[in-house]
Amino acid sequence: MILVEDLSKSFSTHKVVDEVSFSVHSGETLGLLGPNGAGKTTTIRMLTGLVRPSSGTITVVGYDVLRDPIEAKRLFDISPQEASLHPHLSIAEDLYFYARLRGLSRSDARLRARDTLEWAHLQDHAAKNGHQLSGGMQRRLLMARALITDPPILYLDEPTTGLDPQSRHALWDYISELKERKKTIILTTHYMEEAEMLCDRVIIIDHGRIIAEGSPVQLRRGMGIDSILTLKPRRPLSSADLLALRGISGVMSLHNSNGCLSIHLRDKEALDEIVVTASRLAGIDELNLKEPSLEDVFLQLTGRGLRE
Amino acid sequence: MIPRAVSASLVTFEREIYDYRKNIFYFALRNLIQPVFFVLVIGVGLGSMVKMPGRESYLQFMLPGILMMCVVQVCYQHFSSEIWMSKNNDGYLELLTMAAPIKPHEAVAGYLLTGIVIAFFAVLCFLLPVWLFLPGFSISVVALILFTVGLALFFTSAGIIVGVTVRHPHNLTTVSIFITMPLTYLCGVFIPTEMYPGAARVLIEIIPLTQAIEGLRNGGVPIFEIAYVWAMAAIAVIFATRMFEKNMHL
Repeated sequence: MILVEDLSKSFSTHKVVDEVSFSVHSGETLGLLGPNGAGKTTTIRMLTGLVRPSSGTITVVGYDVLRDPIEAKRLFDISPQEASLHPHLSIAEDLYFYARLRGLSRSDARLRARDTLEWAHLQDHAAKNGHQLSGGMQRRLLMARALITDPPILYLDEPTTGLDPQSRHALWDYISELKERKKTIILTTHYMEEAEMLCDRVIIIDHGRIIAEGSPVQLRRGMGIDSILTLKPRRPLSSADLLALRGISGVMSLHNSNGCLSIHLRDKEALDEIVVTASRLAGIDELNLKEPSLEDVFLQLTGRGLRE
Repeated sequence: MIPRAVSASLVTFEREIYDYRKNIFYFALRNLIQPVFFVLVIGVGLGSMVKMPGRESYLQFMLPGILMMCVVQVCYQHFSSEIWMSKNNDGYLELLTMAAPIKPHEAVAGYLLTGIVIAFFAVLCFLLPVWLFLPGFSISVVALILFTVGLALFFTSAGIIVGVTVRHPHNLTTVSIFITMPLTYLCGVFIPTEMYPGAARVLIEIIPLTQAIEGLRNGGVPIFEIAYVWAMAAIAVIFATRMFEKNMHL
C-alpha cells in the first residue's frame, strides 16, 4: 500500500534521513521508533508531502506523492505532532472547512464534522476554539480531523506525547478501533509500551538510517536475550565484584546504574550462580526477573546516552 | 461539475470570508476609523486653511486618495497578519496547504479572491457615509472598481509575501510600518505629486497606489493608469505565489 524507496533528506550538509526503504501493507500498523532527532518526523513529513525529499520515491497505492500529490493525498491524512488548529474558528467550523478542503459537499461536510466531534466525545466543546481545549482533547480532535473523510491510510505523529495516563489510554482505545477498521497506520512514538501494544511491525531509526525492523516479538528474540535480571545489592559492589559477575557464563551484559544492576542473560542457567555470587559479595536487597521488552531492544540498539 | 482546483480555491475563499463575516462589525470599525480621522482632522480641519488652485476643495482632492488607502490598509494588514498567524500557529497553514489535497497556488487564488471582496467592503464602508454627508462628491465608478481590484490584488500579494516570509512577530509590525507609512504620506493622498522634486517624483509614480489615486482624481476611465496598476498586480501575484510555494516547502 505504501512503498518507500531510498528516501533521503539533507538540510544543508546534514543528512537527516539516509536512504530509508520500507513498505507497509494494507491494514498493517507500522511503528517508527527512534531517539529524538533520529529522522522519524522528517520521514513522516516527507510521506505526507510536507517536506520535499532530497532523493528517493514514495508511492501510495501506486501514486507517487511528489508527481501525483493530489491523488495520493486523497488516500491519507495526518494527525500531526503540533496542535495545527485554526487561530480563530471554533472546532466545529475548523472540521467543516477541513472536510470541505478535502472535497466534501457542504451538507456532507456538516454531517461529517458533527459525527467526528461525537466520535471524539467533543460535541459539548464544538463552539470552542481548538486552543481552548486541554492537551488530551486537542489530540483527540487532531485524530478525529484526520478521519473526517475516512481515508484508508493514517499517519499518527506522536499522538500521545505529553498526555496524562487517562488521555493516553483513551487514545490507545481510538487507535485500536482504527486497527479493527483495517486502517493502514504509520505511528511514530517514544513510548515503547505503545508500540508493543499497537504495532504489527516496528522500524527503529537512528541517525537517519533503519537499524532494525520486524514485529515486536521478532525484535525481542533477535536480541538473543532470554531474560533480564534486575538486582539491588545491599552494599556497593567494587569493580572487581562487577568483573566477577560479568564473567559468569550466560551473562551477556551488565549495566550498573545508581547502584542497581541490570543483567542481560543468554539463558536462565546462570541465574543460580549470579544470585549466590552477588549474595556472597554484597548481599541482595531486591531481585526481579523479566522478559526483555521492546524498550530493552531499543536501548540496546540506540544506546543509553542522552541525545539532546 | 466544478474542477477540483477551482473548488479548492473557492473553499479557501469561503473559509476566509466566513471568518471575516463572523467579525464584520470589528472589521467595519477598523476600516472606518483611520479614514474618518483623516477626513475630519486633515480634510475638514486642516483643509479649511488650504486653497488649491484649479480644484474644488482640499477635501474633494483628498477623498480619492483616502478611498485607495482603505484598499491598501485592509488588504495588506489583513493578509500579512492572518497568514503570519496561520503559518506560525503550530503549522496550521502548512497542514492545510500541504497535507490536504490542495496546491499552494490554489490557496493563494482563494486569498486573492478574498482580498478583492474585503477591499470592496472597505471601499463601501467609507463611500456610503461620504455620499451621505457630501452628496456632491462624484467619482468614476468604473475606474473605482478597476483600481480597487488591481490594488487589492497587489496589496493582498504584498500581505501574503510578508506573512509567509517574516518569522518574528516584532519584525511583522516593523515591516508593516515601513510599508504602510510611506504609502500613506508619500503617494499623493494628502499632497499632489507635482510638489515633489523630479527624482523623488519618479520613484513615487512607480508605486501603483500613486497611479490609482491620480487616475481616480483625473476622472473618466484612465486606461494607462488602470493598465499599469493591473500589470503591477499581475507581477505581484506571480511573485507572491512563488514565495508562498517556496516558504511552505521546507
